[in-house]
Amino acid sequence: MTLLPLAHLGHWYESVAYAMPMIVIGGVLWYTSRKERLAGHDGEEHWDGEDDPQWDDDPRLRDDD
Amino acid sequence: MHAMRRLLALTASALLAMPAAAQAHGLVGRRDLPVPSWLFAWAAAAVLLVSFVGLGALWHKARLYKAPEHRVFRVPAWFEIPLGALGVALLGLTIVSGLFGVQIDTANFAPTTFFVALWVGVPFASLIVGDLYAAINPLRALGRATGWLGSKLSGGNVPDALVMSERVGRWPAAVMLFAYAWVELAFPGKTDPSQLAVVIIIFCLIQAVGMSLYGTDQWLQRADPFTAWFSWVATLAPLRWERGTLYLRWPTVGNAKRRAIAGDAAIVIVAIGTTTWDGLSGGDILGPPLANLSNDVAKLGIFGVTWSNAVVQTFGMLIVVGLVTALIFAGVRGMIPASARRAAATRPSPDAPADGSPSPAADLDGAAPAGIDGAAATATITRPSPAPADGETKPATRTGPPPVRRLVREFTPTLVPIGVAYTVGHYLSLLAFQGQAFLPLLSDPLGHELLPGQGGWLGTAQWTINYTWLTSNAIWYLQVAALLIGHVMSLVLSHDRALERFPRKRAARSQRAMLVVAVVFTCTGLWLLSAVG
Repeated sequence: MTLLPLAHLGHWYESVAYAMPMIVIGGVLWYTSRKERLAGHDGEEHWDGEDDPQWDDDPRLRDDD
Repeated sequence: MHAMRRLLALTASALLAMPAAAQAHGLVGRRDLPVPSWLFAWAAAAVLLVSFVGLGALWHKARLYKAPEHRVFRVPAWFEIPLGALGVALLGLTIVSGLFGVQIDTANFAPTTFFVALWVGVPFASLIVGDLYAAINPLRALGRATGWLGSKLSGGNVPDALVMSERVGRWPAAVMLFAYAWVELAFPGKTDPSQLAVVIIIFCLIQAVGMSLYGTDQWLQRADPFTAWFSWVATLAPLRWERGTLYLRWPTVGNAKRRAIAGDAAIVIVAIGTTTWDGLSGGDILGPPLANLSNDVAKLGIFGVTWSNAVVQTFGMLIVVGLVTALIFAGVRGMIPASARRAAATRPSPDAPADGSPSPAADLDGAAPAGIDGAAATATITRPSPAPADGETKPATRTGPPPVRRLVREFTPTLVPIGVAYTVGHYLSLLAFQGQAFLPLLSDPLGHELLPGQGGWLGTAQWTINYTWLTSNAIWYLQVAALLIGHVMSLVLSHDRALERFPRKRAARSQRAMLVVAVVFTCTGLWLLSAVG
């Protein structure tokens, strides 16, 4: 019985080990984005539409259908 | 960045909701790995991170959609006939063996053909030889033969096929794909060959009615789940067939060249979500709670015991498909800075007419792409902008970022390699071992008891399954390799599409959220696979 909690701890330890890359990479990217946003460098000012002709001009004129 | 925060929250909640599980269809084997299995997830995440940085630093122009294809050779048009006949024969044999063969799922031809050869074998082959299913699709062969016969008998006076709405897109195929997954995972009669045969007959009847109304090709492309999903799988192949001509290209290039329409994102999401649920529900951890839950549902007295399990499985599938949808939406939404979304929401569109009627840009925002000729073999794209007074066509301009719905439609198909990687990872051992039963069952599809030395039609009925040719370790390494390759391919495709759609700096920034999505799928996939054994 005394080993049961340890067994569960081991199970969750492994689960957390699988989650670590998501948490670390997600956290770093979130922190970077937040820092850029606070510094005003998140690119909002460039969304003027005129430099995005691609959205109205789909270059893939062939469909595999 | 709210979207990124939501993505992290969603990831955390998904992790809490998903304890370790085993794959349902994979054979359980004991692995003896030199390092803990979670280290593979760390290594895979590191590879994805390096790929992301490398792509940002070295890949500055969208190049995949215009990558060249080289014509290899051409096969005669009549070659379609024997391939179609082969498909029809296999379909007929599946139905007949299901209805009249021995009613043991492992001894009957129907379950192995329907669940292993079709669902696993065809996509595996399509990764190499291109769209195999299009060539052997029995419904296509029957539809074309019926159409040809009808045209001959009526002297060419065949009514025109209806044109399916662009907004419908491939949504019927997505719904049917979910229905197929439901039969595979939840339907109580999935191990009963005769019930399976009835399901196949019903499916064929639905397809026959649809083909008769909308035309064979249009209907199958929009509403046949296998045509729709396998054709996306085949976009990753180095070979492509078009009207009897074989073209050679780099793998994955086909995905970048293909234009997504409404419903394509749903097909990819259903493929990933249902495979994830398959891995999750069959494990030792989630299996017992699901069985208890089924018993509790059965005690309500509304459903029988078997159908209570089906209800629980159905809800589980819906929840996981919903989680995958939310993750992808959050990831795609995270491509646009929150400040840009806010600014766009408060900025009036220059395309909005003063009278309040729908603007041309609003057409672009919709789920349907502009101007796809659904009935034709090729699609043409027209711009929805109204012609100016001077008669010249002027493209509609947009202010602010594109809507999330459109981004989802454009970018979700870049996740096809992940869906394929999940299929390979989850069903590799099923194909490697149960796939060997196909030829013996083909020789004796009705499951007659054969005397020693009798080999059935093809002489292969006595062949047995070799369970030793692939070790558990080898399967694990192949699964890890498949997941890793699939996710890196997905990152490359998404990066290339972002470059196609955004200026360079914005494209690189937009892919941060997709990197998180790829890492979540990689680690979750490896987590599910690691629980076997």
